[in-house]
Amino acid sequence: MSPHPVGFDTPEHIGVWVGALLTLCVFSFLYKDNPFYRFAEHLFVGVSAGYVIILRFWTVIVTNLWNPLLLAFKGSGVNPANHGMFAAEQGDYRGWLLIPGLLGLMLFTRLFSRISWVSRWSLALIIGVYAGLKTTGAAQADFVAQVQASLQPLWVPGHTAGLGERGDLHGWADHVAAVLLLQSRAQGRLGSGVEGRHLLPDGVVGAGLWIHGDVARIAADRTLPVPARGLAGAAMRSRAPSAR
Amino acid sequence: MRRVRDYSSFPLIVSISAGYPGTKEWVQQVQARFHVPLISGCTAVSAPEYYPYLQSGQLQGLLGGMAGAAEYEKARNEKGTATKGMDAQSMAHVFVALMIVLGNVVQWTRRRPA
Repeated sequence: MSPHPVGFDTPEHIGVWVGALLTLCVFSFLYKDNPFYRFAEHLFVGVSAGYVIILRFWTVIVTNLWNPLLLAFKGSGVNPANHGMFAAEQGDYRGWLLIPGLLGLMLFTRLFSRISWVSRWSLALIIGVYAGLKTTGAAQADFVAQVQASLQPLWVPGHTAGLGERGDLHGWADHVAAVLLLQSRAQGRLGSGVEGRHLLPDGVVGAGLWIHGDVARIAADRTLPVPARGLAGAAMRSRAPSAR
Repeated sequence: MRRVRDYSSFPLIVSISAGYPGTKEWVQQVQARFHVPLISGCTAVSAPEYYPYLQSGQLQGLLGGMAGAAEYEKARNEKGTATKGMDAQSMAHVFVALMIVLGNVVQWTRRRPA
């Protein structure tokens, strides 16, 4: 008798068997394409799509649209002092959810060729809002805050930090290397033979890259600003293929 | 909840997430705008993407994958499932590393002289 018998007596056990068989069906593709793999592939795609649709319906449509609209039609808001369907205040947009609901329905007009143009209004709003939110968020979080974190103090009175700590020597090395890195990008790929007036000789810029890489190696990953390190990596990668 | 006006009403936000939207979106949309302390627990594969946020202070703390969970258990002086799972995961990593080395050795020995 097996120490861990797996029969067909419970739904969990049946699920294990089905999962194991489907896994073998998928792995059979390693030999060559075959009907068993195709069956598992189609089943996976169908089940995934169905699962996502049901999940989104109950967690988004019902929770965030249908239920709040029901409450809105009943005239009850977050603040009992305010009555009416559109008695919205901060955090209470129930009645106004009619608009996104309508825009969502407009998306389905793509199924009817004669009025499919209506869906473009919804898409335009979705793309515009998404682009606006992502742009400002990325600019603040991935650009401004990261640059601020990279600008280390060059001199801290009474503080004599070495390469292993933030500040002082590390700050100087990082600033010099960052300028050289940026210059290397401005001058094009090092050693690529690109003609033009260069502010600094390629050798100096290359030394900066080497210094920065060496500092990064010595100082371990918690002491160097990551954007500068990423820049160093990008510059090194861009230099590698052209050096040969 | 009536006194909650926006994200700045919360003293701390904890994001336990994998995939999209996740910690990156919390940093971009919430922390950058409201400057609320934010900590995150995420999958190991997405942790490197968040190290810059941790280094710059945009994330106050980061638990990356099973190793991060095991570190947290160690800090709490507690031996839970993450600590136990590290043995198996570490062995799997060693096995993968050995296979990579072995594959390179085989490839190198089979290389025909030019």
